[in-house]
Amino acid sequence: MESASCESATALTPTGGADQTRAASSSQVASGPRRGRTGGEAVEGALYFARLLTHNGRVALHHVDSVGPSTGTTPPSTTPIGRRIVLGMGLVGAAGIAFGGILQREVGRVVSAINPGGGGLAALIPGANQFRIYNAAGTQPDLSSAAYRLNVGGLVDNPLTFSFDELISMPATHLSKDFQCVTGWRVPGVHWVGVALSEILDRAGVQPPASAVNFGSFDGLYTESLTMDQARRPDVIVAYEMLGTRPISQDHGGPVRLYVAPMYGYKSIKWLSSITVATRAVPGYWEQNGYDVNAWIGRSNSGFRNTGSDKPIDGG
Amino acid sequence: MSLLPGETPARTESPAFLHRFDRTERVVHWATAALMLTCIATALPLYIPSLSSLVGRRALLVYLHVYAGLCLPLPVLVGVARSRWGAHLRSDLRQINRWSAGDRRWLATWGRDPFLTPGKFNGGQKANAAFIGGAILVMAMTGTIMKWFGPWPLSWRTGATFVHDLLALVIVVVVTGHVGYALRWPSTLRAMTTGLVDVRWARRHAPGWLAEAENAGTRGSDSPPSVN
Repeated sequence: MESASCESATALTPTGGADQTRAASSSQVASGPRRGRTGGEAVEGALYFARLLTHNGRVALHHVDSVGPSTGTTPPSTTPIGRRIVLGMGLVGAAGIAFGGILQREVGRVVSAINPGGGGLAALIPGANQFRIYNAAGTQPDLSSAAYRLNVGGLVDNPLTFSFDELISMPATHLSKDFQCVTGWRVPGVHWVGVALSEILDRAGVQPPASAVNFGSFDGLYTESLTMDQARRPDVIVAYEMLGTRPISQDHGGPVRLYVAPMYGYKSIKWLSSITVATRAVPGYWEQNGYDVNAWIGRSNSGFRNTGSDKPIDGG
Repeated sequence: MSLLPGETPARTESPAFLHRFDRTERVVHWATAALMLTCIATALPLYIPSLSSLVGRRALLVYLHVYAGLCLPLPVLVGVARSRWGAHLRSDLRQINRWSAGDRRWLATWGRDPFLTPGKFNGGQKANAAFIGGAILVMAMTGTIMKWFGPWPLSWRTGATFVHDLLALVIVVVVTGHVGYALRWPSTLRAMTTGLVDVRWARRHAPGWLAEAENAGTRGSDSPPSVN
């Protein structure tokens, strides 16, 4: 945890004594105009800033100030507060990265105590445990629960179509679990109601060679997939109620979406319209953008390459 | 137009101007402003749920937001590195970095103390510049963790998201205040577009700087107003 603050501090601290740094930077900046390369200049600028931030502000580049009658002195009664603010913010920011998750939990608790409804402007307070609305397509798909249909097909004995009313008349699964996004945001203790995916698969009758389930969305773009073993977990549901709203609101992927509790949020495909049983899981929308196919929370999407850090998906 | 050494600054209503920002500084300012406004404009539909639904196109917004944000430090870094053109900017940055007791007093009284004689930059302007500098640093750190989350533990991603959101809120308030003050004192806006500021403004808001400019011919100053 501490390495966060250390890293950011050393990034701004040039090695060597003040005089060495001064000499080194002087020669670098003096060669500036002959270079004319933006990248090189940005690096030189960063070096200059590092010096401005780490020395008492008295290390001025007097030799390049020849255009003006610079005296080369700073008023004696001043303090380099500016750089202290910049450095201080960097350190507080690093500490916030390390411990902000804990802080966010507390802020969320306070905000939900003050504002139990969860709506209004209080929902915009950072840490107020609000969802972020993602949509792959340019516009958000809109479908009433009356017009909604869920098609189940592929390697099944009986291809089925479920209406919204048929789904809510099936045995319900209630889950109160966090919604965790792979990028970091989290909404704790969301209440979900839906039908276990395994129940739907059983009704359709999965044929023996099938080892994967692919999902489609009526937004026309969003796709997802699970292995058969993953799909049969009891905490994987076809959800029709979320946050106390039935049907699920359009923003959150309603009227019906998938909820895959043990995995990062992107696996919980929104605006679910088709379930296709197959021999092979097809990487979905987010996986094509570099996310892991097997998206276990805390056990995936780590390392510098996010793909292929888990078992091959065909293997289940 | 600028005040020549030995020239008497305007004592009447006649327009006299001081040179406040050179071309490099103005280009750096407006490039930074454009990038910052891009970040804020794209952040709103990324963060506010009802706007997300209305605007959509999240992938495009993320792309614009991330790369505008990563480019934010570049104008000032390139500006200070340009040896000759950046001299004025470096000189001003040194002044902004160093705070006097008067600058702290300015902040404590929000400029209402009539006995203060701020130099080229008052305490509020120095605080604004330092805050934005620090904010760009922290937003780049946290934003990088959010976008390229792979190498970081999940708790850091959550922490980075929290810091990014919280600081974004403060940035919006500070930038709104900055723009508000520019509109309230149009002379400062003109200084950032033309480079020149009228002496009447300087007499009221930067008397220390004006006195420095008046003595520039004889004494010299850290920030020669007659450059360019």
